[in-house]
Amino acid sequence: MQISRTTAFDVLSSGRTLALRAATGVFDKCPPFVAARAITFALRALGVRIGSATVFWGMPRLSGAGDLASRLRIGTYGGFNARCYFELADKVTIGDHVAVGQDVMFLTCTRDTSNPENRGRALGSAPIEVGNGSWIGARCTIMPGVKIGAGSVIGASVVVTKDVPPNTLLMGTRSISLAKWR
Amino acid sequence: MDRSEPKLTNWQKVVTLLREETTGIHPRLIALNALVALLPRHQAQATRARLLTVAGFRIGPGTRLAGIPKINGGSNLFSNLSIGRDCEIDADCVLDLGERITIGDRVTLGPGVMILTSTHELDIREHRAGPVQLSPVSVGDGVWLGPRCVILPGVTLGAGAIVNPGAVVNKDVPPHTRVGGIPATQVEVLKPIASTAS
Repeated sequence: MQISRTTAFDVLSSGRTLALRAATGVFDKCPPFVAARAITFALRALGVRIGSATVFWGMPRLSGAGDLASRLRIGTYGGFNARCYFELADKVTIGDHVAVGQDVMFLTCTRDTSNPENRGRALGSAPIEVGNGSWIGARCTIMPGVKIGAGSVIGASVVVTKDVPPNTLLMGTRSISLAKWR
Repeated sequence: MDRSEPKLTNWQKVVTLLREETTGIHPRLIALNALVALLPRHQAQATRARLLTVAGFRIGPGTRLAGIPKINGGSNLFSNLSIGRDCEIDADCVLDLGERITIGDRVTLGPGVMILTSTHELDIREHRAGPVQLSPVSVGDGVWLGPRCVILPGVTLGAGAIVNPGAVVNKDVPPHTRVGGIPATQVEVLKPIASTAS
């Protein structure tokens, strides 16, 4: 067992995480599309790296232990609709000009399914990357370790378990290439 | 095309920002949600419909709601929803009222149904989600929308149609048809039995 010594940095960063959780609790009460700039400003101030002109139209729910803010990185000119969910056990990197619909889940916690007594034991974590210009529809679930290529479009209510190549339209299990389309 | 935007003073910028930040506030909706938070889920279903009517939505008699749907939309949000009579609406539904949503009579919405009216145009690869597009949704009489299905903007569901659980409907559904899957395809043609039992 590893014994960790608390440093000044830990205290500072845990204070920041506490403030982030408090802000989540406050802004959760806002109806969607209200105080969007205030929400984005609060997230930026609490250490989430968010590029310029990106707007969170509702407070996302952030889960995970430790310094959450450092694991989320978002590019410029993005738009995030209400009730997004980020499981920040690992890094979630989102590129520029990305649009994300409502109720989208980014999951990073992997599970060990080999034990018949406990099929869903937490195993580890895998990062998620979303390329520039992609568009993720409402109520999608992005599974751990998935890389979504630049310029891809994910339709509504899709569970993305595998990597998505660039310029692909994914709708359910069907995928169509958008490479020739603009 | 001349794309030059008019120069705004700092004061005008602040006013524009504040207006944008507060357009989603609907005092009647907030009061409704605060009041309804006191009611337990799946209880007081007729009362909930009554409260929605008081807030300004058009809802037919006999409609019951197990939970207040999550509602968002612009200033004409209250006139954009009309629900017929004797509908059953389960909890955790999402109604996006950027455009009109018309729900007929005797419609059943399962838990977590999402009806969307706003989407984006598919744009260049550097920025796929283009300008916002709004289109109305209409749900015919006697339709059953299964749990957690998604109805995309511009869809018209014919009378007596069934949407399977988890389906994503992106095209119009003819009357008396069962659709399912992502994107939703026809699974079964149902018999339109004209019974006048009542």
